[in-house]
Amino acid sequence: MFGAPFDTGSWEGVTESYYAGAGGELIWLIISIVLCGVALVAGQVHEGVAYKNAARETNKVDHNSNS
Amino acid sequence: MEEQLAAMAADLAAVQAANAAGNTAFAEVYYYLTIPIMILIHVGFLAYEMGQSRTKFVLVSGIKNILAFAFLVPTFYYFGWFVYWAFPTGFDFAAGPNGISGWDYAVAVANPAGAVMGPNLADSATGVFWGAFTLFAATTASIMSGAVIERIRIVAFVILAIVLGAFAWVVAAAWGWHADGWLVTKFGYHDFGAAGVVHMVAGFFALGVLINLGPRIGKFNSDKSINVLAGHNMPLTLVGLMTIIVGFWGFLMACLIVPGEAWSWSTNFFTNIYGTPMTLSALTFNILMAFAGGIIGAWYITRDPFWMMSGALGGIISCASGLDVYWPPMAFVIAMLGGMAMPYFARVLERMGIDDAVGAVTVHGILGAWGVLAVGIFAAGYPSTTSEGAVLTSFVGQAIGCGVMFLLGFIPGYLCSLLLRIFGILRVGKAAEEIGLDAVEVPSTAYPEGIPASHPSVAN
Repeated sequence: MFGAPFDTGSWEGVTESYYAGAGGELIWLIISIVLCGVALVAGQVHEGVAYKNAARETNKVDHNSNS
Repeated sequence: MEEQLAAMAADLAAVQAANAAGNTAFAEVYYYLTIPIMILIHVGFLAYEMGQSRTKFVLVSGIKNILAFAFLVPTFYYFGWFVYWAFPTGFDFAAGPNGISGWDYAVAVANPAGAVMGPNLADSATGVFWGAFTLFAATTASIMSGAVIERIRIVAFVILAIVLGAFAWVVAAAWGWHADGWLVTKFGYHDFGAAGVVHMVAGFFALGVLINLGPRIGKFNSDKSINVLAGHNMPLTLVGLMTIIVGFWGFLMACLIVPGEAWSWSTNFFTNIYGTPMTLSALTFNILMAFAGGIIGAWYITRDPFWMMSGALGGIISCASGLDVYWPPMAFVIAMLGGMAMPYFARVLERMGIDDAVGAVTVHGILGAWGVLAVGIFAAGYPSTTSEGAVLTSFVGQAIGCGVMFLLGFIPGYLCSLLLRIFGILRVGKAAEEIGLDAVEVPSTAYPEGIPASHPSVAN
């Protein structure tokens, strides 16, 4: 399914598409879209945590300087 | 005799086949080479925006640029390219008068799950055209990127970049940068070098985002006075701007259609994207004259190297729509006017409370509008396409196009950033902004040994 789209053992007569994945294009399209989405969600989580930590550190410094 | 004729015919056929193969290879290489040249636009924006950032934001600004490029590639593959071919006649997805648009056509030439969008011996064009358009798309995101530095969340920026680069500007390009586009066929809209469809759309998208994003902490005082939040490295900014100019040569080169192919408009001369004739020679005259005019105009008004190099960009953008038809000294004047007006408009925006860190709204949005209107003022009367009875370019057509480009940029930018703001994911936290985003969310350091020679202001 994921190998060469022809099994003639030769490049003779190959004149059009020749990529691996032929017959399963939609699967790879969907997987790559999902991976983009996962990367964005992970990035969002990372940023949220980073900003919370920054706020916590700032509050700690303020608290220490007040006391 | 007959044998000799047959032999000559065979030789002629062989020569024609070799010539056709050579032309196809030339066309493929031509567009292929525009891509690395256009990547220099992104090298330039990377340097420019990092230079314009204060030291505590340098790497986050760089990350933004890198991710804009990275996410625009797959998303333009998924749907941006399809939108360009499906949308020219509007939202009815019908085929246009040239038969190179509409839903069915888009399915045939831009289906992301179809055989044309991959290695294919029968197609030497789709990949390189898609690549060049992908770089146009990434450029729109980079234009927005500079305006919002030092306070936007990275993921929010990437989402906005996708909306702009893989949809908003693509609709604009389908309508006004395509021979079947309704702005072209109905109003004679002419925008050879994308002053409207790329620069205006990106610039006013950025304006919509800036309204919701708000200014950087410390930019405006309670008495409405304005502080200068100087970037940490002006030389890097200037080199970045000059590198963008280098990249523009690839951008504008990719706006031409090579002759002699099945998809070409002509068998023997270059055309623009609408199919009307032009030459690389014309482009060269006018790019260089516009570049010079923009710099000199900005120098005359500001004496500031930042605005001078922005003026180089602004000069080319001022002339972009008509680079194929202007007389070079006219291009110089149009560019110089743009370069002179640019700092004034930047000040007006700032006084309105808009914190555009690099002047993107002015350089790309406002000068993009000037560029579109300039064709209506200085170059009206050209047939917009080669079709029989084609509508002529006119000031009214350019003004309508200008309004459409403004709306296609501003409305999506404003609405999407408003949505992100409502969900609380548009802007970084106050504490993070005060500490500096590099320290808060980047695992590496821009200047681990410091910058001893820095001006004290960069300690902000």
